Amino acid sequence: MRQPGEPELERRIDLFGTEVRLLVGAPTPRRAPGNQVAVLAVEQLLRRHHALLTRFDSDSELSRLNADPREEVPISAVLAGALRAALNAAELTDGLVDPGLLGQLERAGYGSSRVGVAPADLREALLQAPPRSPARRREGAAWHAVEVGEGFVRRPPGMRFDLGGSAKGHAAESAAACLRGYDSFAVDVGGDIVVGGNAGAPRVVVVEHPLGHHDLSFRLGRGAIATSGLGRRIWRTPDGFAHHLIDPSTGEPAWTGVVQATAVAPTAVEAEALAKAALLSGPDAGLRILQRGGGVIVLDDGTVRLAGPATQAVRSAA
Amino acid sequence: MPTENARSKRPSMVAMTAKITAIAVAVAIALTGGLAIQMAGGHDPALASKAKHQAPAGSSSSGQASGGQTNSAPAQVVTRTS
Repeated sequence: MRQPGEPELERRIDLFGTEVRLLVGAPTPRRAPGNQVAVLAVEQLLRRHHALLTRFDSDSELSRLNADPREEVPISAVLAGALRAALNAAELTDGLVDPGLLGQLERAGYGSSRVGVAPADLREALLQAPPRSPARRREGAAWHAVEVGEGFVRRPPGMRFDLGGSAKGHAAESAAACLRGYDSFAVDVGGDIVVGGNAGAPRVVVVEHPLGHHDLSFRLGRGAIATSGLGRRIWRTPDGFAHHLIDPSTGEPAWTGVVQATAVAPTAVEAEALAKAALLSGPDAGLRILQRGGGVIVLDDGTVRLAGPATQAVRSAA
Repeated sequence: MPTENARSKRPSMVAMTAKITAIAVAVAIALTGGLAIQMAGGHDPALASKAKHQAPAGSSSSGQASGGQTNSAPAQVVTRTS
């Protein structure tokens, strides 16, 4: 029997090289089975996405695609969806979020999974980093020539994909689509979060400060939030430090003056793309990118700047 | 000069006033007593709304999943660099 204010069922899983957290409230009457069924179904869906889309397993479908010399390759619906999400992210950000930078990422030192590897110290890395400058798109980038059709992908010979954040956003969206029949839900794939539910109750969203200053919080009833930053996937190199956010124009890690960006958007794929683009663009352009849906950026010195609707939301929740 | 009817109503109004007073006293005792019992049991209702916003403790180890936990709905979520 459904009770008003029934607590949400919670489940935590390690996937996509991060922690996944599912929260599902009571089923809306006559629209869905019990939330335990939903949590198990969503977990299976996310595990399938991870198995197909990870680049750290040579037997995943993504790895097999990247190793395939053919120009046109048959692919599953899951991989097709993730590739479309990555191309949409590239379009949305005018090429700043580029899915064709796997080689550059490997050269920077991110050729294998960093799960269980402690990140380098962010403050120390910022002290030794090169002069800050905004990242720029790569002219003539290969992603423009990628075509994803029903059951196939066609791409320039030799092009390899890193789906990274867009795969997480796409997985969160796919999971959230299974939960439309519940009073409340949240799908959190390593900080890329979709929230919603038929009860329409707003949920508190906390933005963690990467340098340990005060966290921010605001309320969101429906939509997506994503955060991109340098703090977790950062490592020492013989020359200094490197991280996983690559400037498409140089092929090197981007040091832009922003250490973390959070975006609010209608979907997780959009939020993820906008957060990454805001970080890559630097402080001023980054705020402009976040203006429409709202967001937060954190500068190298820890200063927090708010953009768009988030400005009011954060203040009212304080 | 009071009528027969008025005289018959006077005792019932006194009784009604006494009843209302008794009910008010009983409600006050019940509320105070209930609150005292809750607080003696370790639950401070004034802290309930704050507790609802605390991040759930604990996380699973690599490759494992934790399940079956419940939170007050809707629980808070945390977005961070991953």
